[in-house]
Parts: sequence; C-alpha cells; structure tokens
Amino acid sequence: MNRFPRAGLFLVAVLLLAGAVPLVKTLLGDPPPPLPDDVLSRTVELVYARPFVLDQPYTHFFRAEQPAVASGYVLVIAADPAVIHPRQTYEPVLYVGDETAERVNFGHESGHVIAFVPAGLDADGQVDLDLASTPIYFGEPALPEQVTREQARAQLERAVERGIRAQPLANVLGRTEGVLRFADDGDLRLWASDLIERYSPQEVDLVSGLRAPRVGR
Amino acid sequence: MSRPFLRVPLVVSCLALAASIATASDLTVDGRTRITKLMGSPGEIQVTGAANSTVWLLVDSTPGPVQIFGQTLELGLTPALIIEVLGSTGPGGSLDVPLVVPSDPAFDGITGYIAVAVLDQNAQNGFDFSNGVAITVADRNMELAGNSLAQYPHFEFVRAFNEGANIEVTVDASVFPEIDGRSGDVYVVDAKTRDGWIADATLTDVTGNGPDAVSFNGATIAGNAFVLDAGTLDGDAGIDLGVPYDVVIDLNTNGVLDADDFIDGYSDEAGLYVVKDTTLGGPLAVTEALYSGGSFLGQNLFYPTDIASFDDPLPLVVVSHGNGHNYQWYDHIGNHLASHGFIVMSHQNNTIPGIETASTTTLTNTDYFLGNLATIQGGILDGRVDSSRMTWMGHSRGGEGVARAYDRIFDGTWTPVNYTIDDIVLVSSIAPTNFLGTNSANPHGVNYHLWTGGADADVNGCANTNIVQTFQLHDRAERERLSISLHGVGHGDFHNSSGSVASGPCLVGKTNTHAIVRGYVLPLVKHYAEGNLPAKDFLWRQWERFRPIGAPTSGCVHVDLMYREGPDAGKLVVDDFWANTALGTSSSGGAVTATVSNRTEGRPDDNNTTFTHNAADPFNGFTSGSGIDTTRVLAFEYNQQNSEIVWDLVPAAQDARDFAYLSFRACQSTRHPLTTAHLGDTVFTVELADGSGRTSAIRIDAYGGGIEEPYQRTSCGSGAGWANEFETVRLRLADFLHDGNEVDLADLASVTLRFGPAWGTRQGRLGFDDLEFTKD
Repeated sequence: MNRFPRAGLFLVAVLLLAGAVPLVKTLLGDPPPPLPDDVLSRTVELVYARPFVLDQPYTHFFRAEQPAVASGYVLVIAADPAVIHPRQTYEPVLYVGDETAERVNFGHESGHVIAFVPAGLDADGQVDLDLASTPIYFGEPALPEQVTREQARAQLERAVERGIRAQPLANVLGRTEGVLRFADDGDLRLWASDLIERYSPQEVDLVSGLRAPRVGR
Repeated sequence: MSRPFLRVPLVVSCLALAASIATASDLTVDGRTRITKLMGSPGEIQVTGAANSTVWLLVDSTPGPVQIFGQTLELGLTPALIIEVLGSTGPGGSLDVPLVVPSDPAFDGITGYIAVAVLDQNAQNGFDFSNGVAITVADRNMELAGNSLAQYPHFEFVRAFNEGANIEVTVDASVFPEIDGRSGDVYVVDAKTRDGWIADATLTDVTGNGPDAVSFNGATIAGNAFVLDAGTLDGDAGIDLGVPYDVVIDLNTNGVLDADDFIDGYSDEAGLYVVKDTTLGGPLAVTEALYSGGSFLGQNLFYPTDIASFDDPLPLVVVSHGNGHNYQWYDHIGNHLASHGFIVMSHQNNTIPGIETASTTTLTNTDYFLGNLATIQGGILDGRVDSSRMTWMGHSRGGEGVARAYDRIFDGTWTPVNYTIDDIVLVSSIAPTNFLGTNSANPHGVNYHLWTGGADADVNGCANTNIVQTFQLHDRAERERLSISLHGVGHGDFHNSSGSVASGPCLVGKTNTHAIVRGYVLPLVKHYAEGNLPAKDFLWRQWERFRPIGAPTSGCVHVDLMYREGPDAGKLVVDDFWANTALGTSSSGGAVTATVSNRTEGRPDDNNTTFTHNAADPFNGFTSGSGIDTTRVLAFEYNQQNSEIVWDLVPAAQDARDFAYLSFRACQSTRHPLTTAHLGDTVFTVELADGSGRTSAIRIDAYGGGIEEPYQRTSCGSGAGWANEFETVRLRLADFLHDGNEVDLADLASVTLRFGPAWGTRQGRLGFDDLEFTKD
C-alpha cells in the first residue's frame, strides 16, 4: 500500500529542504492571509478518497439541516494554504457536489485537508457518491452550520458556471482499498488521525487529541 | 450610669411649662460640640449651668435652630424629639453623665443632635437651654489602611495590598476630631470576625517588631498618614488569595480593643488583605490528563494531584478553544488555576461549522464531564467537583460559543442534564467573535468578562465587520460585566501554541501576555467562584496603581479595565443614556447641562468601515454595539477651554450615604484630532455639589491613571489608533470628604465633570457611560 502519495512526499521534502521549523512557526504566527480573489475558481485536487460505513450515525454539523450520517467518503484534498488557513471570520466552505464536507483538520501548514462527506448507500449497499462526476470546490465564505441544502445546490450551480469540474480519479489514492467500517464516528476520527499525520504532519496536537484514550475502553 | 438614646414621643407640654431667657448653660460631649463616636464606645455628657438644678436631655434628628419661648434652641423640634431627665447639677453647677453609644448597626452614619434644659429659678422663664451638640455615630469598623496619594483626596483606603508593598494608615482628624493630638499603639493583627473580636479583644501584633507608637497631630489626612508596614507582611494564603489582617489603633495602649480604640476590620471582612504574586503558580501539585469520551469529547484535564485530601468539592473551569486552535493549548490557564484549587477542563471544540456547533460542544462536554466523574481518571474526581460554581471560558469562536451556550440554556432551547444555568457563575470570553448578534450571542444575566488584544490580527476589532468586534458581547451583558483590554497583544498570544497572530506596534508577545493572563485570571475566578474579596481589587483598580506583582512592566504593556456592577447589586444609575434620550435629561430623569462641544448620545457603533477620522461620524472608533443592541453612550469634545457636563440629581439620587463609589466608564475617541493632539492619558475632574452649594472635586488621575489613549495601530483606514477602549473609574464617595470637606452626601445636588486646562488634559474627544452610585 502506498501510504504516502507523491504530492505529499514532495511537500514534505520541500519543507525539510526549506527548513521546516521556521516556516511552520511563520505560518502559525502570521495573521490569516487575505483570501485570494479567485478562491471560488480554484481547482481543488483530490488526493485520497475512501468510503466509510458506520454502525452508529453521527450528526453532520456542517449543514443547517444537520442530517444523520452513517456513510460517506473520507477525502484528502490539496488546496492553497491561503484558502484553508483557519480564521475566526467566515471561511470558504468546502463542497463535494451539492453537499458540504466536514473539515477534520485545518491543513494550512501542509496544504492538505482531510474531510468527511456524507453520502447514502445505494441499492447494493455501496456508498452512493460518484467522485468521477462530482466537483469538489470551495464555495463562498460562510459558517457551514448555516448553509442549507438549497444553498449548497446553488453553490454547485455557480461552481459549474465558473467551470469547476470533477477531476479524473486515476491518481487518487485509497479508492481501491475497500470500505472502512467502524462502530461510530469516534473510531472514524481516530482512523483519520493517521491520515492527518501522514498528509498534514504539522498538526501534532490535533493528532494527539484525536488519539486521546477513550474513557471506559 | 450609662444612658442609651431613647425614642419617645414629643412632649411639648414639658417645654410649655418652662419659661424663657438665660443661656448660661453649656453642653459638651467629651469636651466637644461636634463629634463622631464609634458604636459601643464610651463618652461623657458634660453640663454646666445653675447649681443644684434638674437637667433635661433633649435629643432630636435635625439641628434646628428654632426659636421657642424667647430662646434659641439648637434642635429641630421634630416629632422624633426625645426628652429625658438627665440628672441634677451639683453645688458647683456641673453634671457629668457617662454614655455608651449604642452598638446597633442601624445607627451607622446617623447624626443625632442634643441639647439640655437646666431648671433655673433665676432665669426669666425658669429654665435655660444649652448650646447644641452634634453626635455622629460611626460603625467601629472604619477605614484605616491604604496608600497616600500625591493630590487630593491625598489618601486612598483600599482592600488589597501586594506583598512587599508599603501599607499606610491614617485617620482624618476632620472626620474623627477626637484623634487630634492623641497617641496610640497601632497594631496589625490576624483578622477576626466581629464575633471573634467580641469574644477576644486581645491585640497581638504580627509585624514582627511590635505595635507602632504613633501620635496623631496632623490637621490633614496626609499629615496623619504613616507607613505601618514596609512590605513585610506575608501574603501567602495557600490556595486562597489574600492573607487577612485587621488594623487597630489602641488609643489607651492597654493591648486590648476597647473604649474608643479605632479598628479597620471589625466585621466579617478583614481590614486589609495582603496578596501574593498572582502570576505565580499555587502551592498544589497538578495532574494533567488527556482523554476522550468520544466524538468531540476530547478533554484536557487539570486538577490538584492530592484532590482526594480536600474536604470540599472544588469549582470547575471549562475552556472552549477557538477556530484553528486546539484544546491542548491552554496549559497556562489549566496548570495555574489547578495549582490554586480549581479543576480545569479544556475540551475539543467543534468550531469550524460555526458558533452554534461550538456552543453545542461546550454544552455537551460540560455535561459529559459532570456525568462521567465516576470513570474519568479512575473516578478520582467523583464527588470532588463543585458543579454549582462553574466558569465557562472561551477563546475566539469559542469565546462567542460560551456566550451562545449560556444563551441557549437561557432561552430554553437546550437543557443540560447534569447542571443548570444557575451553576454558571461566570462566562469569560477571550477575543470572541460576534457572528450571531444580539439575540443569539447574549450573556444575559450571567456575570460576563471579556479579554481583548489590541494587536489581534484575526478578531481584529476593525470597523469593517461586526464579526470581529469583541466589545459587543460585553455591552450586551446585563449583570456584572467587566473587561481587560491589552495593548499590543495578538490573537495567538492567549493560547500556548506558537504564534502571536498580531499586528501593530509595540507587541507584547506570548510570555508577557501569559503573565498578565495568569495574574488576572486567578483573581477573576477566585472572585466569582469563591467570593474572594481582595480579588475584586484586581478587577477595577487602575493598572497604573495596582496590578499583579509579576505582571510585565514594559512600556508597551497597557491594561485597561472595565467593571460595571450588575443591577442586583443595589446601585443607582444616574445616567446610562438608555432612557430619556434627550441630551438635556439623564436616564434617571435629572437635568443635564453642558458646555462641552459636539455632544451626542447614541449607539456606540462606528457608522462606516474604517477608523479614519470622520467629523460626520460622532461614534468613530466605537465598536460596542450594532444592529438592535440597546447599548448607548455619550460622546463629546472640548478644546483648550474649561468646560463641563453637569448632571442634576433627582431626589432619589440625592442621598448617597448608602453608596460607596461614584463609578463611570470613559474612553478616548480614536484618530480624532483632539485625541492625536494629546496622545496620552486623558485627565479630568469629578465634582460633587450638595444642596447648600458646597463642592468637592477629585481629579481622576489621583488614583494613578487617566483614560488611556487608543492603541496606536494603523490600518482599518488612514491614521493611527485602534478601537476605542472604555475603562472604568471608581471614586470612593468618602474620599470627597477628606480634610474637612463638608459636602453633604445626604443632600447631593449634582455631579459635574470638569474638563480643560484648569481641570486636567487641555483637549480631547471622549466617550462616556454608566454614571452610577455603587455599593462596593
């Protein structure tokens, strides 16, 4: 299994060559950079994708309707750090088609965001999301919890109008690794901590926090 | 024989029997005609007049004089008049009768007026009225300890002293003339309650060098001031804050509190408290634990390692981080508070979706923690968490989240399982966002505290969006509300991961910021969770005068404090500009007149997107309100001219004797030419006037500082100067009486703010609000 995609390796190498520690400090210590003017037209590169199914659904807080989620995809995307830099004000919302995605990490130091996108199951019990035909993009800055399904659909329409398209999946990792099955999203997040460690290794506190021992286990 | 005052009906007939003329009779109490007597203290009524004659004592509530039977009687002859036979003069024509001032606290501050009538067969009407004597009853508990001031009122009586600082004592001979010319031994003793003093009045000095023998010969309050202790008193109270001491002036030098000895601390509150460096860790070893209860239930816990040895459960502090932050980034708060006897739980906060979701994680994490104490950390905390004294602290989106969480419980849209809304004694927001606005991010009736960094480059405070204007949550709070504004402090300086996220000059940095945070967060939670009294001094006394010992002293460090009592504290609002919005009428209904310029009342809400000076925007730089927020303030200016604002007091506000402070908040208006022309603390003078035209005035910098200039940060338009920072000034009402000033606090007529060259800073553009009389 190729656990380190080439893009990730390349970024790690660049960071090491450039002197990663000072760079990381700078990224953390700087104010959030201004959002690029063309944030809505930028390509979001899908790096990794893998379906998941849970025994116990969880609440998708990233949409106003707060649907229950029992299946979906774990994604890793590569994006401009200026776009994904955490800020307290409105941030561009990550969409997969007409659905909001949950950002599990911030990724502004690595350029990689790990995300969960809800999707139902088809008649065959497979996760019903065709990434080959579904655009992944950043929409207008907002609080995801205030975005309705209707607004999400409008965001998709605008993205398509801007020329955002689904990308070829040939180089996307994880698709053939099978469905992840967990008891609940706590276990899913614990598993995702490996992805964060792999693709966004600067976020050590996030990783250790997700790996905190479960009480009673 | 001791004679307590008695209340009996008016007996006019007694006087009708008497005739007129003659004024040979004299009356004194302890040799004086005007005296303040301590409750429970002995004294002597001294009468001279006709020999072998019956003497009647007359006591009344007003001084008169009245003309009656051809004589002047220095009493008011009110229905409260008391008449009683006092005794008889002897062959020498004198009568001395001992008295004991009643110890009933109901008499505190009351002035009684007495005279005597001496039967005198040789007088024209068969009796003779004496002169009148005014006796003011004072609680034995009085203010003695404090600090000298360079200008009037020349001395401040305070509650808290930093360890190592001088402790001074004085007695104002104009208020207590009986001290004049007397000597005594001055003790610092371990504090006792009033009952403790009654049970054991023995004096044991704790300074190490015995009581100080002091003579009080000064005619002024400054003249009687002396250093009682040069910083030797121990301030280490363990996990408590402040070692309590009482101060006693043993006038009869018998080593016992008795007679008319003076005491500061004859109550359940100590006379003074010596506090250690609040920036330093406490005495308790701390255990830190990282665990998870499941999705978004990651928690970083701090508690005293020997928590099992505590008899009583400890208060809980919950910390909710901000967006892009992590729940493991608040060790500086967790370790500090846990080492002083708190349990601190910092939790994983779901901030990316928004404030509603973040508030959900505050609510659910608090419930999870309280509901799983039997299993968390092996159950060591079970039964040892006092959930009735909780503080919620939040940073950034988490700072708004904690206010939203409280609001949801208040609105009834969320019902906690293991706690109630009454269990939350304080909500404290660090650089909070303001997404949700008035109706949804509202601290309502909880005590609310705000931290704001002037150099914050994320929640930056600029006028271009309400989302980043931290003061709006503060101004919405309805109960006690307070804030700490820190120049040069960035958004990231408040957590302990790397990076300041700061922009602006003279940056303070993380190390210094954390010292300030530790120094203030301890008294903050000690006060609200434990009712600690000396902690309150940290929350309102000007930074320039009193601050945590270990706080940085760099010239870049400026700290502005706001403190406003809640409505349930018994305060009286003179003007908060909320009701009676006409400029000529205060919110309490009194007339307001002014000679300052461009006076405007309104919502403190910059009306455009920049802080650039704009003469058309009277509230430029104000960021405390928006939308439907009801907060209102006054803005005005003055330029090289002596000018004023006068608040006439309505009858309900004219008797201020039940209040301790005159309080208000004020700020400078950023980038205004009258602000930039000065660029320093703005100073003005506060004057009280009574119904007889007597006045007393205090410059606000007497206590150490004025109204701070805005942080000189650029951007957000042209020019330099960041958002207007209100700070609170509290003037002790009794200070207006120092050195014999006789302005009558029972009959105040007006409060005047005087500005200009004769009264302080020559020019300025200011915001002003919350003119109040407060209890404490």
